[in-house]
Amino acid sequence: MKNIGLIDDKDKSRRAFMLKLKLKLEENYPSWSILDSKPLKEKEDYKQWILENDISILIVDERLDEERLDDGSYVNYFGSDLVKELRTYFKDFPIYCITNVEITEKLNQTLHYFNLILSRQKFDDDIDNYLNSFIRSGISFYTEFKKELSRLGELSNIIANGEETPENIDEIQSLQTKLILPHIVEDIKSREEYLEKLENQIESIKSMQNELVKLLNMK
Amino acid sequence: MSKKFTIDARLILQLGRDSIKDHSTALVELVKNSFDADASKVEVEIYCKGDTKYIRVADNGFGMTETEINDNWLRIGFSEKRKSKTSKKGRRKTGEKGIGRIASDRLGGILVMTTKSEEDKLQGIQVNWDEFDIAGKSIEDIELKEIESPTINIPSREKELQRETGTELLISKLRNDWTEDNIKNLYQELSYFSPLFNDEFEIVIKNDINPAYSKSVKSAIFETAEIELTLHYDGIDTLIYEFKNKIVPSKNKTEIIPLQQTIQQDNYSPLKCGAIDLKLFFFVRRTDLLQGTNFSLSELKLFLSENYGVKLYRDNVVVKPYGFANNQFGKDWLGLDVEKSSNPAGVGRESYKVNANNIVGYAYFSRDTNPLLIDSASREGLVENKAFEDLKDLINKSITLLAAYRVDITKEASKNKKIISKENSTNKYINSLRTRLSTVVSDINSIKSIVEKHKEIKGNPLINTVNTIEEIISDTEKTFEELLDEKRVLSALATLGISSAVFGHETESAITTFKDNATNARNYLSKSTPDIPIALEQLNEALNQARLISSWGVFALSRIEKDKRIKRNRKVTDIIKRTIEQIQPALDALDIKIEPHLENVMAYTFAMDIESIFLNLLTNAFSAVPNSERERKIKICLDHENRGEIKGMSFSVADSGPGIAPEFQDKIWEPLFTTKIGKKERQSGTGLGLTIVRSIVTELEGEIKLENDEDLKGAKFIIWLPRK
Repeated sequence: MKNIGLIDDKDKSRRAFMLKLKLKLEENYPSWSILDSKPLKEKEDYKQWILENDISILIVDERLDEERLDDGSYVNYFGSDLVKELRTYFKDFPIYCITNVEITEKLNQTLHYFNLILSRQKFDDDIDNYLNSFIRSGISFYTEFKKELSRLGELSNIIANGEETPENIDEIQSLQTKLILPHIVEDIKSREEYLEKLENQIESIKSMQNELVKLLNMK
Repeated sequence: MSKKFTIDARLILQLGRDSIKDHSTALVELVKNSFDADASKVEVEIYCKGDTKYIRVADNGFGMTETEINDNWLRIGFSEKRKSKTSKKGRRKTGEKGIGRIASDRLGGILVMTTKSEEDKLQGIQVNWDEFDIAGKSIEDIELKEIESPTINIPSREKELQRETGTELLISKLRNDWTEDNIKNLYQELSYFSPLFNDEFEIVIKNDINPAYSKSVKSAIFETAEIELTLHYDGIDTLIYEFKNKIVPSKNKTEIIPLQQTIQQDNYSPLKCGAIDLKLFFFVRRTDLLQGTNFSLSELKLFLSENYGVKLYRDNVVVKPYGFANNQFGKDWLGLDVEKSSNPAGVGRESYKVNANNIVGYAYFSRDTNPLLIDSASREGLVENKAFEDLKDLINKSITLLAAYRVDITKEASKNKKIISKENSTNKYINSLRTRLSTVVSDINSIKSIVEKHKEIKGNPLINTVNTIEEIISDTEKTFEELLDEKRVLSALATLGISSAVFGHETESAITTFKDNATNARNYLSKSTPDIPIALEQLNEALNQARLISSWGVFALSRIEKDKRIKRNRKVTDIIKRTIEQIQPALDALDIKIEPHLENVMAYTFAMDIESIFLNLLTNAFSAVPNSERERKIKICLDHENRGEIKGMSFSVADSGPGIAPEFQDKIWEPLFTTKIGKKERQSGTGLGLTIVRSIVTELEGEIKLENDEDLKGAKFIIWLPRK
C-alpha cells in the first residue's frame, strides 16, 4: 500500500502534476507510485477506491466540479466536503489539499480535517521538502495499517481455532471498524456455523455449475 | 440576675409575612432554594379543587443531613448563601436572607419537609405554623414533629440518571385560594427567574386551576428578542415561515414557500435532512427592548454570551457540539461570523448579515423522520453527509431571510421616523442640477442683455459678474462631464476587477499547468533514458496553455482603451461577440456553452458602457451555472426594440443556474448584496456587479428587469437601452 492518490477534475493539469510527481518519486522514493483520477461520482465511493488501490496518501484539489466526469455529469462536492466525509472513516489517513485557487475561508474552516492545505505555488517552491513530509506521514499510516492487519490475522487465527476470549472479539471488532472491514464475527458465532455456511455456499456454486453445464450442452 | 431577650414565636411569622409580598412570591422563594441546592429539576404542584388541597415543591438537589437541618434549616435568619456565593456546582446562589423556609407559612398552615442527602438517611419533619401564631408563646416552647418513617418522591428528569438525593416540601391547610391569574403570574415570575440556566434547571408546574400553565416553564428572556423566526419544513416541499418582530409589529407575517420554487432545479428532490422545526431568536443588546421585563442589560449579555448559536435537538436531546459557545467546532458551526467578517455592512444595507452572537436558535428533528442525520462514529456530532449539508443550508438560508427581514423592518421604522432616503440616482441628481443651472444661465443672459442695453447705469461691473457666473457654470458642466467619464472608467475597472476574480482562476490554473508542462518536458528529456513521447506531449500542452494565458492578457488590456470612452456609432453586435471571444477559454474550462442569438444592431453609445453591462451579466451567469446540475448554458440575445418614438435595443443574458429566489429579487441591485447562501464558494461575489449594471442603465436612461428563463430555468436579465 504505497501509492499516492491524486484527485483533480481538470484532466490536463492533473496529468501534468502527476507526471511531475511521478518523476520525483522515481528519483527519490522508488517504492512509491502515483495514481491519478478524476473525482469519483459520489463522496462515498472513495472508501472503496482507497482500499482497493492501496492508497496511503491522498492529494486533492479544492474545486472538483469544473470539468465533466466521463458520464457527462459533474460532481457536487469540493475537496473540503470530501475530506469531511473521509474523516468519518479514516481518522489518521494523510490527506492534503493542494489548490490553484485562493485559500478561501470555507477551505480554511476545514483545515483541521486536512493534514495540510497548500497553494500550488507554495508546494512548487519547496516541492522536495513537502513531498518528503507527505511520504513520512504515508509511511507511518502504512506501517500502522500493516501492523493492524497483522494483528487482525492473529486474532482471526485464534477465533478460527475456537480459542477466542470476549476480549479477542472486542479487539477484532474494533480493528474491523478501524480498517473498515465487515464484522464477520457478528454474523458467525462458531466454527461449526462458519463451516456450515461455507458448505452451503459451495453447494450453491455446484448447482450453478450444473445449470451452466446443462445450458452449454443444450447449445 | 442576667437579662436576656426572649422571642415571641409570632415574630417568625411576622418576619416571613413582611418580607414576602404574596403567595406567588413565596413559591418562587422555595424554587430558588431548589436552584441553590444544584437541582436539575423542580416540580411545583398546586392542587386546590379536590378534597385534598396541597402545594408540593420537590427537587432533586443535594438534600440535607440531620446536622444541616438542625444547624442551618432550623436556624431562622441563617443563610448558607452568605458564607458561599456559589453552589457546589458553581451556580450563583439566588437568595441571601435565610427566610426561604418561612415562606411556606404564606402558603399553608402545615409543612412537611422530607429530604435525603448522600451522607445521611432520609429525614422528615413537620412544622405547624399555626402553633407560632399564638400571642405570648415563646419560640422555644414549640416542638417540631419528626416523622418516623418518611417517604420522598424525588423528581426524575428525562435523559438524566435518576438522582437519589433531593428535598420535598408538602404544604397543606392552604391559606389562599389560587386563581387562574395567580397561576399565570406564578408562571411568569418563574419564567423571569429561569432564563440563564434554561438547559440545566427545569421547572415544571402542575395544577388543577389553570391547566394551560401545567407545563415546563419557558424562559421569558426569549420575549426580549427583536425578531423571532419560526420555520416548519414538512420534509417534502413546503417551508412555512413565521416572522415576528418588536419594532414594527405590522410587519409580522407568515409565508408559505414551496421549496421547489427556491431551488428551481429540474431534478428537484426534497431535502435529505427530512422534516425540521426551527426557532431563531435575534437579540440586540439594547435596554429599550428590555422595557416591561425584569431583565437587566447585563443579564441579557450574560445570557447571550453563554447561549448564542443554533443548537440541534434530536428527539428533544441536544446534539453536541453544534451551537455550544464553549466548543471550538460548535460555536460558529454555521460560519456566520466568517460571512459577517467578509461583509460587515450594517443593517441599513441590503447586504447586511447577522453576527453569530446575536442569534439563539433551536432546530428540532427526530430519529424516525430524519434517518439520514446520523451520529459520526469517530467524533462528536453528526456525519457531515448530504443530509447534514441540507440541514445546515436550510438553517443558513433561514438566517439570511431573518437578516433580510431585519433590513426591511429597519427601513420601515426609519420611514416612520421620516428619515429621508437617498432614492434618486446620481444621474438624476446631476440632471436636475443641470436643469436648474440652465434656468440660471437663461435668467442671467436676460439680465445681461438688459444691462448691456443700459450701459449708462454703471453696468460694467455687473456685466463682468455675469460673465464670471457663466464661466463658473461652464466649468461646473465640464466637471460633471469629467466626473461621468471618470465614473465610466471606474465602473469598467470595477468590472474588470470582478471578472478577474471570477475568470482569473482559469488563467491561474493555465499558468500552473504551463509551468508543469515546461518542467516536465525538460525533466523527461533529461532522464538517463529520455522519454521523448512524454516530453513532446508536454511541450504541445505547454503551447496550448500559453495561448490561454495570452488571451486573458488581451482581455485585460483591452478593457479600458481610450476609444471605448468616446460616444459614437457602434456595432453593438461586435462588442458582444468580441467580449465572448475573449472569455471563451474560461467558458471552455468549465464546459459552459454559449448560445448567441445576435441581430445586427447599431447604436450611438459608449462601448465601455455596453461592455461593462454585458461583462457583469456574463460574470454572474458564469458563476451561477455550475451551481445547478443542469447542462451548463448561457443564452445571449440582442435585437432591435423601439418604444414609441424612441429607437432602442434589447439584450438579455439567461443562464442554466439555480435562478434567484423570489425573496432576493428586489435586493440583488443593492451594493454588496450577494445571494451566496450555500456551500459553494464560487457563488461568493462582491455584490457590486449588478449595482454597476443598474447604475449604467439608469445613466443611459434604459430599463432592466429580471425574469426566470423558461428554457434554461435559471435567471434572465433583460436590458433595454435607447440607441441614441
